[in-house]
Amino acid sequence: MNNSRKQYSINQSQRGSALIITLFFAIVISAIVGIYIKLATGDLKLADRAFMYNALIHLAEEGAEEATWALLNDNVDWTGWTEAVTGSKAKIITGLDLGNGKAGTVYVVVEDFSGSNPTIYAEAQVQLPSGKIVSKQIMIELSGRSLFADGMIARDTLTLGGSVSVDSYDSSLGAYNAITNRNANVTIGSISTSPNKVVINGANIWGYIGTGESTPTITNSTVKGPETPAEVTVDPNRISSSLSAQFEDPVAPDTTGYTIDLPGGNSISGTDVVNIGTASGPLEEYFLTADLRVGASATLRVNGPVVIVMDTNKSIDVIGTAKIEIIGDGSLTFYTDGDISIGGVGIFNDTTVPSNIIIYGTETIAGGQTISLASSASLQAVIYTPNANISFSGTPDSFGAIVANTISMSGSSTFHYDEALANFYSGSKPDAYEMNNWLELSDIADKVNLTSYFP
Amino acid sequence: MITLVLTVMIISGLTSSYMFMIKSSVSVGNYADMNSQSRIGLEKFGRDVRMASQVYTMSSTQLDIDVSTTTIPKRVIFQYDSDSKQFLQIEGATSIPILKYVESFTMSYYKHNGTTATIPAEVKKIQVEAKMVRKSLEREDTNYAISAQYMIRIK
Repeated sequence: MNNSRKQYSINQSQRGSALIITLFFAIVISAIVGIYIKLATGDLKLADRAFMYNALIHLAEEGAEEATWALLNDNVDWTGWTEAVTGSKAKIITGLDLGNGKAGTVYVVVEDFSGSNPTIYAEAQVQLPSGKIVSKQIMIELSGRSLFADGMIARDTLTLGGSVSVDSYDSSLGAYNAITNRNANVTIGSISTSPNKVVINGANIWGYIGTGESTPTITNSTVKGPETPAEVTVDPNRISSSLSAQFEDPVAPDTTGYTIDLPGGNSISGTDVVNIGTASGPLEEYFLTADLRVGASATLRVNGPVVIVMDTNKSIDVIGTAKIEIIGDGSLTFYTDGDISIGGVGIFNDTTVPSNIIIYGTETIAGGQTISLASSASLQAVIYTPNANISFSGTPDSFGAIVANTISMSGSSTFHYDEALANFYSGSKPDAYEMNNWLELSDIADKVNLTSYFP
Repeated sequence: MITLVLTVMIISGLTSSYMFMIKSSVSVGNYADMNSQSRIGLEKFGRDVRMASQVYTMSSTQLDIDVSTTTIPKRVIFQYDSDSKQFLQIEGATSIPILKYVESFTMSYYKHNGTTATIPAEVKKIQVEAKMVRKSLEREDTNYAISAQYMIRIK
């Protein structure tokens, strides 16, 4: 009985000690666990916020992308935009899923949307579980960009051989002059990211070469500028592998109301001279239902502003010693998906301003249209034919700018890019835009209050 | 005597357990601190890189970029100082450490297509790798930070 009491007494004492030790451990562990939980919670919040900030940048850029699309497709894609502030378009994009039940909202504003230098504000917001709203705001300043800001750009392959010469000049300062009006501000190249798309052999480039990704193949050639040291033949600072552009297919205008075919028909021969366009007169518009053929010693003379739209797959040929001649204040714009062959004297631009002759290739299949300039034909024109294959052979002398699917120059042909085309738009608004600034407005003082655009 | 031995053993055990827990707590604190520091530092770095319009010079430990706006000229140099073990954001005469306790540091440069850029004109994306080490209570806590490839938007 006594033994039993003694045993009981010892157990009670041990239990007391164990309790104290357990309590001690429990307190320490609780404190540590508490610290861990606090740190982990803080870390989780920070990670979540960092993730959100990163996601919000992308959301804001998505808003800016939508604004850019609307700018490029003016009068088509402003659907859903409001104009509470005159001259500024605004749009709210909601319900952008960010996972974990969070949805982002983007407020987009385009200031000066009808001008040449619009500014885009895009603010992306998301509400955190704590109820706090976090946001990112970006500002993108754009300026209008011509489709012909570079010079001679192929979507696919650019091949120069023989003794081709390339340089630039500024037609706003007068005609090309090898001494007084000659620069090295032309870029030739290909936007293709595939290898071997730019092959230069035996050419002299007084300008830049660009590729979409790969290194151009340059042999027996010079690529230089005024700053290039005399002993350097191919200046590496004038070669870029990040040439990037988007060339939309041009679309011919609606020809309702156009004059059908040229006076006397579309085939001009002998020594005939056919005059179209009126000096200082209104725009004359022609829709040609048959091939345009200027042969022998004939002349198609353009005296005033003229637009010619060719019917499907109708070609343009200038052969013999014939010519298409632009004089006075004449200008000529072609829309065609057919082939173009220019020989003879070529398209003679008496105005010496290349933008007075524009050729739009409306073919939609890459390589589905060919344009050839041969013999000693001259061409002072702007050629925008993103699906055409263009070839120069013989000794043609060309001025202006070219966008095509493939471009091939051989013989001793020359190309002089007109720098004035860098500011040339086909319509009243820019054909494209480039970013001058991309700014993240992170400080409260810098952020722009967009509420007035969203009443 | 037995009680004394048991007491010493228990106290020793408790003390070592306590010290272990304290060290663990400090380590966790260090990791959390370095983690938050690297997130905030890289966010600042990424913000300037995204806005850059030109890369003047580049190396594995230094980047000199132009982040001017239309109205305000601004040139920023990011530089790793191995003496102070800091990654610095330098603007004019102002130098701000955006990462501390940096043992090793590398910046990598890429073209727009992801291949390595070798000259400033080619740089389109920039990636940062940093190894941060904090010492406390005779322990070394190491945190590796590898950023995403920050893309220069307008270059």
